[in-house]
Amino acid sequence: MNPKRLLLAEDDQMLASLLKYRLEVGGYQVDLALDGRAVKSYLKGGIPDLVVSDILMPYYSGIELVNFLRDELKSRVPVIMISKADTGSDPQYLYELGADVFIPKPVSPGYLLQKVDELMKRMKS
Amino acid sequence: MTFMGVYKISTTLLWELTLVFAAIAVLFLFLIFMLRSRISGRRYKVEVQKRELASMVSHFLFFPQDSNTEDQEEDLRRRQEFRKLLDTPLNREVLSEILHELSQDVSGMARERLLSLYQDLGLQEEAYRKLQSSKWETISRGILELSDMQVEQAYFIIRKFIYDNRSILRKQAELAIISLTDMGIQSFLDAARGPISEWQQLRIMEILKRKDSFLPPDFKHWLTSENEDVILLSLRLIRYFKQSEAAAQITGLLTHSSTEIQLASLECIRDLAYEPAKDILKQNFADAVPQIKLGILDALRPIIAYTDKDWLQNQAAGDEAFAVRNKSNALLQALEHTATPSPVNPTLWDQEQVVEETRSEPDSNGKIPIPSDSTNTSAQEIAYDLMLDLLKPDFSALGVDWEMDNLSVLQQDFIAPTPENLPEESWRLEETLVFDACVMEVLEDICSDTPESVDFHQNIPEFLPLIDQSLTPTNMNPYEPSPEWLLRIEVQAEILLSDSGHAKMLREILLEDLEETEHVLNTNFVAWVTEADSHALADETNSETTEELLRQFPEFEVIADDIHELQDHNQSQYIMKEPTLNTEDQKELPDYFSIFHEFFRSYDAESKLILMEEIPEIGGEKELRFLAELFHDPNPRIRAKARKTHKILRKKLGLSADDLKGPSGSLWTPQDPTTQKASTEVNTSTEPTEDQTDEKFEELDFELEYEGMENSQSQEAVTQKPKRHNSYLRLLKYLNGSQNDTHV
Repeated sequence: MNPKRLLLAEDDQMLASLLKYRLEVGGYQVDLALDGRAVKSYLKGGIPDLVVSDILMPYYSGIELVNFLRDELKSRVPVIMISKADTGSDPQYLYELGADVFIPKPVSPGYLLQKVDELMKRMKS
Repeated sequence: MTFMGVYKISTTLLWELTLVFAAIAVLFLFLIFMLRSRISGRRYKVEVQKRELASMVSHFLFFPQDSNTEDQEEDLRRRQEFRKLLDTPLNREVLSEILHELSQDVSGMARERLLSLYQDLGLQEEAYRKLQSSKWETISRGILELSDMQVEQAYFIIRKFIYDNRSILRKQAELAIISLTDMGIQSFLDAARGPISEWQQLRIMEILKRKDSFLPPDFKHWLTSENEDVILLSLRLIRYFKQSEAAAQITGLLTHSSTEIQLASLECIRDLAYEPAKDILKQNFADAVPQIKLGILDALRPIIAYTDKDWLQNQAAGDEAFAVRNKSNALLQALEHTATPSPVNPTLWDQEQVVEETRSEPDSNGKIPIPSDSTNTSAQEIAYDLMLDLLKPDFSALGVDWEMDNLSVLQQDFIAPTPENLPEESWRLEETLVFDACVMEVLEDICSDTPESVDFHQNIPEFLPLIDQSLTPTNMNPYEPSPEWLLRIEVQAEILLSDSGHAKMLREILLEDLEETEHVLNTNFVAWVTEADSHALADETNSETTEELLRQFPEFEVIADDIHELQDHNQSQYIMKEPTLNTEDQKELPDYFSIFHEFFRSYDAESKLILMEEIPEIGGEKELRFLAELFHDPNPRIRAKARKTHKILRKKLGLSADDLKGPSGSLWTPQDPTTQKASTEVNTSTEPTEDQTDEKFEELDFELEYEGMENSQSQEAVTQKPKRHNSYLRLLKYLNGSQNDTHV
C-alpha cells in the first residue's frame, strides 16, 4: 500500500526538516517546498493528498496558495495552515477561504501529525 | 623676480603617488572581497551544516524507541557520528543555533526533548563563554540563549547582570531571571530600583503567562514599594492572577499620591469586585478629580447595590463634570434595569457573606437564632400575604370553582418551563428586606388612595368588576392566542392597579388629548363599564347605581367631572359606550380572535388607519367581524375606513352580505338591523344614532384628513393648531347639538 503524499510548504528549513521527519516517521511521504513559487509549480504537476503550508512565505503566501488551490485548480484537497499567532492571520478568515485546520506556531509536531491523521481518515470516510 | 612661483612637482613623483593610492584601493577592495567571501563562505558552510545537523536533530528527537534491531544499530551509528561532529567548534555553534531556533518554533514534547538535548550535549558551555565577552551584544546573545533554553543553573550567573551599568544588559538579565525560575519575579521586584518600561512590564506578563506550573507569590507585599513602577506592575499581576486577598491593601492605595496608581488600584477593585471597598470609594468620590471619579464609578459597577441608588442619583444630578454625570446616569440605568433590589452582579464577597449569614449556629436550646430585625418580619409577612391576596385572581366570579392546583396546571400550559440547568433562585436576607420594604411602600400607596370606608376583603369581588358573570372559560384553548375579552380584562386590571391613586395624572393626560387631538374619542383604555355598569347605562335614571360606582372608583368620578367641565357630555357617553359591553355581544366575543385586536388596543388613530390598509391583504372572516366592530368606533375616520376595508375584504373573500350574518345575527353584519337595534337600545337616550352621526362625521372627516395632509406637509405647528382646534370645536358643537336633538 502506497503511503499518502503530503506537500509541506515551509520556508524555515530547520522547522521544515523537523516536521518532514516527524511526518515521515508517522507514515507519510512528504515533499518539501521552501517558497510559494515552488509550491505552485509542484501543484501544477499534481495534487497531493494533503497540503501543510505556512502562511508567510516568499513569492506567494499560504493564503494565495489556498486560493490558487480552490479557485484555479478546483481542488478540495485538505489544507492545514501554520502561522505565528501574532501575524494577524484570522483563523475564521482562513476557514472561509477553504483551509481545513489552522495551527498556530510554535507548532507541536505530534499535534500536526494527529491533525493530518484526522483529515486523512475523514477523506477516507 | 617672482613673488610667488609655482612649485615644480616631479611627474615621476605624481606617478608614484598614483600607483601607491591605487594599490591601497585595490588592497582595500581585496580585503572587503575577502571578508565578504569569508562571511558568505562561513554562512554557506553553516547552512550546509545546519541542514545536515537538522536531520540528525530530528532523528534524535523522533526516533522511535520500539524499532527493530537494524534500526537501533543505525541509530547507534548516527549517535557516534553526531558526537564526532561536535568536536568541531563550528559544529557546536551551528548545533546551538539550530536548537535555539527550533525551540522557538516547536512546542509540546518536541520542545522538551530539544531543551533536554541541548543540555545533554553540554552546549550551554558555549553560552557561558559568551557571557565572559566584553562586547555587550555577545553577552546579550548568551543571556538570551540560556534563558530560552531554560538552563536554570545559569540563574545566579545571569543575576549579576541585573546591576550592570549597561541598561540593555540589565533589562535582558531581568527578563532572563524571571523566565528561568519561579522566584525570579520576586528577585526582580526586590531589586528593581529604576523605572520599568511599559514594554518590559508587558514582556514580564507574557513570560509569566507562558509558565506552565507557575505558583505566583503574594504580590501585595510589593504594594508598599518606594518604586511606583513596582507597585503598578504588582497591581497588574494581582489583577491577572486574581489575588483577591490583596484587595484590602489595594484599597489603601486609593489615597496614593500618584494618580496612575490610584487608577490602577480602582481597576483592580473593579476586576476583583471588592465590595468592602464601596464605602471608601464613596467617601473618596467627593474630593476626587473627574478622572478618578470615573474610575471610582467603574470600580463601583460590579458592587453597587440598589440601596446606593440615592447616592448615585445625587452624583448624576449634582456633579460638575459632564462625563461623571453621564457615567452616573449610565450606572443608575444599569441598576434600575436589573429590576431587583440586589447588587448588579453578585460578588465573591456576597457569596461569602451569604454563607456566613446562613451559617447560623444553633443556640444552647438547639434552635437557630432569629435575626435581630425579626420583629418587623411578621408585620411584613402579613402585609405581603395581604398583597398576594389582593393580586390573586378571583375565579369564583366566573361561576367556576377553580382551586389553586387547577390554576397551576393551567399555568403550566402558558408558562415556558424553567431550564433544568438554571440554578435555584435564593434570596438573600438583604434582598428580602428590601423587597418587603418596597411591597410595604406600594401597599401604603394603595391604602392611602382608597377610601377608608372600603373594606378590602368585602369589596374584592367588586374591586374586579370587569369579569363578566356570563363568561365561561370552558372553550378556552391554552395553545391559542388569548381572546380579546381576556386581554381587555388584563389591561383593565393593569390600569386599576397601576393607576389607582393617580387620577390626577390620568386627568391631565385626558385633558391633553381633549385639547390636542381627536383621540379622546377612542376611549378603549378607560373600560370601566362591565355588565353591571351596562345595566346602569341602560337605565340612565338609576342614579344610585352610578353614584355607587363612582364611590368605589373615585378616579372615574374625576374623569367624568373633567369631561363635564368641557361641556362634552357626549364624550362620557362614548366612554361608556363600548361595543363589547353589550351583553349579547359579550357572548359572541370569545368565539373568534383577530390578531388586529391587540394592535388596535394600543395603537393611535393614524396607525390604525395604516393597519387597516393591510387588512384586505391578509385578512379573513375573523377580520370581517373585527372590522364590523370598528363600525362603532368613536373616531369617524376609523369608522369610515373600517366600512371601506370591510367592503374590500368581503369582495376579496367572495362573501355576500347575507353570508356575513353571525350565529346571533349581530355584530359583524353592518346591515344587520339587530345590531343597530341592540346598539340603540343602550345608546338611544345618550347619543345620536350611528347613521346620523356617521354621515356628519364623514363630512368632518374630510376636513380632518385635509388638515392631516397639511400637517404632514407643513412643519409650522402655529398654523396647524388653530385649524385643528376649530375643527374640534365644530365637532363638539355638533355632538352637543345632536345630543340635544336626541333628548328632545
